[in-house]
Amino acid sequence: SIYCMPSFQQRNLRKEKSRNAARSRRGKENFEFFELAKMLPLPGAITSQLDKASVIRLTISYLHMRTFASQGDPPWSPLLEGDNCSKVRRSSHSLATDMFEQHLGAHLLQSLDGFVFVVSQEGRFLYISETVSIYLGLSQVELTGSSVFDYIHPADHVEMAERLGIKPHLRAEAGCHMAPDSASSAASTSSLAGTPEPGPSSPHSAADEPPERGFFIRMKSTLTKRGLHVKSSGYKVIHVTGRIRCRPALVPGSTRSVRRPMGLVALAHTLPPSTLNEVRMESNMFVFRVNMDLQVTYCENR
Amino acid sequence: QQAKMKCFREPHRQIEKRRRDKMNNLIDELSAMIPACQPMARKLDKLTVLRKAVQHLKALKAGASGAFADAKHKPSILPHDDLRHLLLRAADGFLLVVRCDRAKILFISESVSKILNFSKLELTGQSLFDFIHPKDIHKVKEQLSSSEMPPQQRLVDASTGVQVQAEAPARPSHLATGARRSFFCRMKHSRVTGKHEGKHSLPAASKKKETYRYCTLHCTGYMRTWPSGQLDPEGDAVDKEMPSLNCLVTVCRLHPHVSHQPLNDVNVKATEFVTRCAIDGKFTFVDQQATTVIGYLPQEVLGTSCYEYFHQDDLQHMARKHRQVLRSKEKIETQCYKFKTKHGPYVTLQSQWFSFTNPWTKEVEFIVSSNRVISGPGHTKDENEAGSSKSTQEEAQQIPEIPGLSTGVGTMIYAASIGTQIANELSDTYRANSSPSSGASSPFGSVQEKCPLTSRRVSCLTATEDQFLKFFPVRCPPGEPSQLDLDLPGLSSFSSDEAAMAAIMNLLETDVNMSQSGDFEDLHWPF
Repeated sequence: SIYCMPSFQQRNLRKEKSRNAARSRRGKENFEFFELAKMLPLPGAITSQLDKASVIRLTISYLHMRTFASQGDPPWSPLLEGDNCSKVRRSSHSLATDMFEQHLGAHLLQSLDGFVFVVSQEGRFLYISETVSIYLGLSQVELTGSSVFDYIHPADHVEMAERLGIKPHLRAEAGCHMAPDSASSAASTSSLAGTPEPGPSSPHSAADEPPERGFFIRMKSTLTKRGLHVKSSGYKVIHVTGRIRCRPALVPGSTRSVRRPMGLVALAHTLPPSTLNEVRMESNMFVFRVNMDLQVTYCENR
Repeated sequence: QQAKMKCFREPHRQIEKRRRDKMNNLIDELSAMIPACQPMARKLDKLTVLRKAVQHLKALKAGASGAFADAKHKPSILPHDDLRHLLLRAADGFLLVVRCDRAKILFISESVSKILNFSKLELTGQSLFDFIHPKDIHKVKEQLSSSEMPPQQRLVDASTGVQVQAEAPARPSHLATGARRSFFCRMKHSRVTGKHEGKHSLPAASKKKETYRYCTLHCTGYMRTWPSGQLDPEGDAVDKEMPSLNCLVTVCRLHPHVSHQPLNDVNVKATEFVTRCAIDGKFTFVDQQATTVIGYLPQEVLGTSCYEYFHQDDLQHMARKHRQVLRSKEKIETQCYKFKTKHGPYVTLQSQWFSFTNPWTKEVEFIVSSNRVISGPGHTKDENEAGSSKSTQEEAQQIPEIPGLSTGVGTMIYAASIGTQIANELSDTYRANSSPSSGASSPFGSVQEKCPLTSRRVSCLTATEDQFLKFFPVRCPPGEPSQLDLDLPGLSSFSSDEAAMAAIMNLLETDVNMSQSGDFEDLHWPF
């Protein structure tokens, strides 16, 4: 058929149709967002407040976490009921067992004096415990699925990437291209920014080294005051201790199996320790204070 | 005004675009995670991806063993089992719940078997104190016990050391729910042969006289109250009367051992300091850093010859290098040599020398030395130095103690003269090359110029000068009334008068340096 120029009314009608279609589509999308948010394993009070991007981000992160749990070595299988309790004892201890065993994770989290997190090889938080708000004032929802490098002091990016076994990615403006070997010895004042790339930084990747990790980095904290004179204000020093989780993978073209790192599972403590501030003094104790060079600056009379 | 509107709209458009792009990226990422979205040939639209995602999550929820179905406790973002595994991988620890009054272990998690080698069955229901190191029992009791403190005890704030004002009545908050605890204690570690031998080497384990080893655990947790009936059904009648039990919930973990060091070694920069000296080797500038290495303050060393500090084994080598640097335009590296520090011991240095030539007079003005510490005092390295000539050694031993001055000066005098000698050789070559001036070609020429300096210096000496001059008569060059005769033992071996003069002058300088803190940096050497 011959195409003729649509008239003014026709054009208007078409516009209105598309507007309606868009509105209806948006409505359907919003409904799905809402549904998706409800499926997230978070309290309803939180999920109802989430913006759309966060809903997607948390969903993605949750699915990654499932893969992390099931495909890594050893796989994190759920605890079976009759595993380790003998039948005799079971009845008498069932209550305590129920109370604690089932919610072991929650109790552990509450008892710890730090927070826990999992970082993927892409440098994203796959999981971070809600207790991070106690120590850093950051929100679990905001951090889950985000890049760790957004929350670590820029000067510590290189170290973090190294520990994870990934290559730090430099912005083009920085103008320097670092070989993986020299990345570790780069000055801390480098203009690193942007998302680091996944991938092993050296031929013998992180999987060949012992999985244990222990290092110190500075993370953003809303609890420290941002002062003009303090260089690292707004950051807290974190002692990270944990392990790299790997999964077995077959080398293509051979029967050899290698271990590919999936991410880091770690415990984080703020320094100086924030939990207990009071020490009980006996009668045979006295207090003295020293400088960093062990020079006594104050001593009690007794 | 239209332009202004446009300005606002531009960034807003960009903001919108960025938001849309971000959302699209997220949707793409999400579709990659959903199995149902995978095999599609073309990219799915947003709505479909969302729908499939919801379906996927619903399926997962249904498949899970009711991990999320618990309505009593708020859902956590991780299934509880995963969290347990996670924490186990992150830290080697176990959960411990004890009654505060009896220290009966109400609950202990499975992971204890990995750490203490006891099964959880062996421990549950036992008294905690049976497993704590005897010396730590008191501390653990304290952590579990009531808040009343005996009067001789007091609370001190750990961060400031200042005493916290304890209220007169017992603080109830100490025992209250939520009160936190953090302490270290040693727990028994059962040595079951063969089972975990060698695999779990606990660095914190210490041997006790009996068969038990202990490992140090960091216990952190909080106090909580529960209804007693629920918690401890095996409790006796007395228990039943108590409405609630105070319990301590803690996680006990092994402190992580030192992680393996990163591949790059920490490069410690060797201590370096810079010195500058005149062509005869006398220090004219000393870096402040030098004090940390040689012990002397810069002002103590200025004006003294570097040869005074060289070990006698190194003198010949250093002299050779000295000659070399004066004649070369390049940097000269010395071998490692020993430098005498203030308090006696020698520190091994290695230096790079470079001479600076005045572009107009074409004469060397000074030598810059960049010195690197090879090793500190106490490390005696055998250097492949050319053996010191016998004569120098004998000379050094022959010089008797000079009254009025500290010991060792005799050696100093001799050593310093080496520098001056070398410098004089250089100035001789300058004289030889330059057009002869009146009296300048004679070897005494330089001495003649030096002498007025000497007399100038003599006049500013303190009372010791009389004493000195009595013993060491100074021979002045012809043309000046000679006051004293030279009679310094050991100097007879000098080949030239000016060397002897230089030695005397050095002596005077040393004396002056000891008596006053004048520096001779601004004295212009008439070379």
